[in-house]
Amino acid sequence: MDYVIETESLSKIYISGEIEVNALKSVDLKIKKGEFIAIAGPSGSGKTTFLNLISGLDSINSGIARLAGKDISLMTKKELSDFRRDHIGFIFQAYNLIPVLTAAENIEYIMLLQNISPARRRERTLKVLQDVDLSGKENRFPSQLSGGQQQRVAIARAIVSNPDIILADEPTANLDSETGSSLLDLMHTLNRKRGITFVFATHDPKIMDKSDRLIIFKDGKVDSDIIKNDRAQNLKNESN
Amino acid sequence: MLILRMARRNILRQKRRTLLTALMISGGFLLFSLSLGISEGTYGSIIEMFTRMHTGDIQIHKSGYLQRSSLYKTINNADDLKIALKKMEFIKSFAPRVYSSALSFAGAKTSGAIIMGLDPDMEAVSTSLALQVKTGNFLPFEPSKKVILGKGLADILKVKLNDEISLIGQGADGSIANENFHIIGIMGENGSSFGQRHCFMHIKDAQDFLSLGPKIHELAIVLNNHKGARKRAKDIKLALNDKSIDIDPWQVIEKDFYNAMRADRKGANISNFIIMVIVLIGVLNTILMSILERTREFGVMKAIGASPSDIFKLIMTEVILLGLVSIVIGIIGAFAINYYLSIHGIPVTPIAYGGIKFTQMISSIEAKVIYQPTYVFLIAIVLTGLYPALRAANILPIKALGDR
Ligand SMILES: Nc1ncnc2c1ncn2[C@@H]1O[C@H](COP(=O)(O)OP(=O)(O)O)[C@@H](O)[C@H]1O
Ligand SMILES: [Mg+2]
Repeated sequence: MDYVIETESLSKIYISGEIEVNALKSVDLKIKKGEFIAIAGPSGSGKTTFLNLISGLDSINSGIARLAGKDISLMTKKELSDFRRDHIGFIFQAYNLIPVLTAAENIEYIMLLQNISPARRRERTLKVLQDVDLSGKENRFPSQLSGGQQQRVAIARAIVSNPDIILADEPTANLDSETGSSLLDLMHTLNRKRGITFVFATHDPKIMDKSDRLIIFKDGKVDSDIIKNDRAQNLKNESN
Repeated sequence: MLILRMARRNILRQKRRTLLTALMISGGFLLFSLSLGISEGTYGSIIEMFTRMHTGDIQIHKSGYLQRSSLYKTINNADDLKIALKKMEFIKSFAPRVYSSALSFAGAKTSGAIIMGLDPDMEAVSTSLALQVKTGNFLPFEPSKKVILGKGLADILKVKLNDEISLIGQGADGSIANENFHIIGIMGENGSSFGQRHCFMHIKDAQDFLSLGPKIHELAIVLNNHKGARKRAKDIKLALNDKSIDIDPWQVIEKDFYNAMRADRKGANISNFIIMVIVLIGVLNTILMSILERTREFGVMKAIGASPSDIFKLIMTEVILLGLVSIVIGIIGAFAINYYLSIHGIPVTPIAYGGIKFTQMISSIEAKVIYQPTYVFLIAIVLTGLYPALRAANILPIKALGDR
């Protein structure tokens, strides 16, 4: 088994008024622990929808999504939020952070939800801020940080609870190219050194380049699924 | 602690809006507390005046006497009652009285008069009636055919201190009562003070004059603690278990006053309720607005694993924090203003009631004036917060994250 994410015929139809949109059409995907995957494809091809479905943020119309072996359609609201808290890290395009909390507090908050003691929260927060190269900025509020720094805090928050997978929806879209690159490097390092699984929904060629596996969505379907390097090939072989 | 910090900063996010809401809450609190304080203070002082001056807290009569008084409706076992009452530790003192109407003469003048026979000794420890004698002296402890006239009666009869008056009335045995009395005091002043038409005399003189023997019409009881007269009246009733007598608290004795006071309080409650509703609509509006503005934030919080109850708790913490701070401000203001008004009062057009002229509304700073609005506001604010908090808690993360 060992898949972090496994979908079978995953489908989603949005109905707005008279119009039905088949946002996702029978997607079968398996994602292994440690993968660094880019999901690309034209705007409206269903990338975000896919991430929302596999994280339980949105409801599934048909098919199955299993996260760490668990069928998420069988979970209650509370189980889903606990599951996200303990197993999934999120990085959005922008406005990821809670504006009234400092960088450190934003990271602490998720551990507070996990009932981790204040002392341990503090310790882990400082450690993870170091990992994302933000030491010394822990008491700044999001508004006092640059876009790139904010995304670093978001990454720190995503990794602090040791999730099985980090879902990043266009994480570099709001950043200039240089900042985006350094952010990508950071995530790549985290993947390589710590084995953290990353799934990106992205337009960014740099992310596609750096990914081990590139999945292209088109019209809500998987158009192509390319293993780009040995590392990914090895991961794939291991699971067979 | 992080949640508390978060709540505090969220509240301070829109400083002006928060300030306005807080002022609304504390203003509403203040009005509520003031209306309670003035009601308690003003009515309290009136109640205190008439209970201390002459009615006492509780009275005992022959059953039916209050509804329709009569010379013949007497308490015949007064001595037994006195012994029983003496044993009740919550009773401070009591005073026996007899009443009758009579005709009074002085020179060529005539007037109806109300005879009130009282025990100067027991009256002195029970009421402040003696202090109302503005000219001359109070009755001596021994019966001596001396009387004190109400100011109104004295004026009609054109009598003064040391003059004689004659009283003609009916004795309980059917005889005609006719006797002369020596005036040693004038009770009260011009106007509305108590006992204008009264003729006060020693209870023994009155019993002799009216051929009542040892019978009395009334026992006025003063309690150690003036509050709870109704409950004590019940206690006494239970202890004495005598169907032939009525035991009534001042609320029944001064029924008209009591009912007027209740109606007035009900009116005050209604206006307090309206103030409350206005404040709560303002609070609700503020919370709803702040939640709407933060929709996306709740989406992120939910995405990273905050459960509905985590969000609910956050909003409720904000609501309660805002409420508490506003209430504390309200308490400080209410305390200050109530305290000021308990000393200085607000002058009003003089109103006379039951022999008491009252010229100002005063406030009171008893505990009720603070704790009642406190818990009413706290509960109301918490209830008001529930709907927005539930709404925020149940925001669908996908909806909240939309348009990113
Ligand atoms: N909440 C929604 N209601 C209606 N249609 C939606 C909703 N979310 C997405 N869609 C539609 O579903 C399709 C896929 O959208 P999305 O997953 O956001 O694409 P991508 O992230 O690849 O740009 C689009 O046609 C989009 O308009
Ligand atoms: Mg998208």
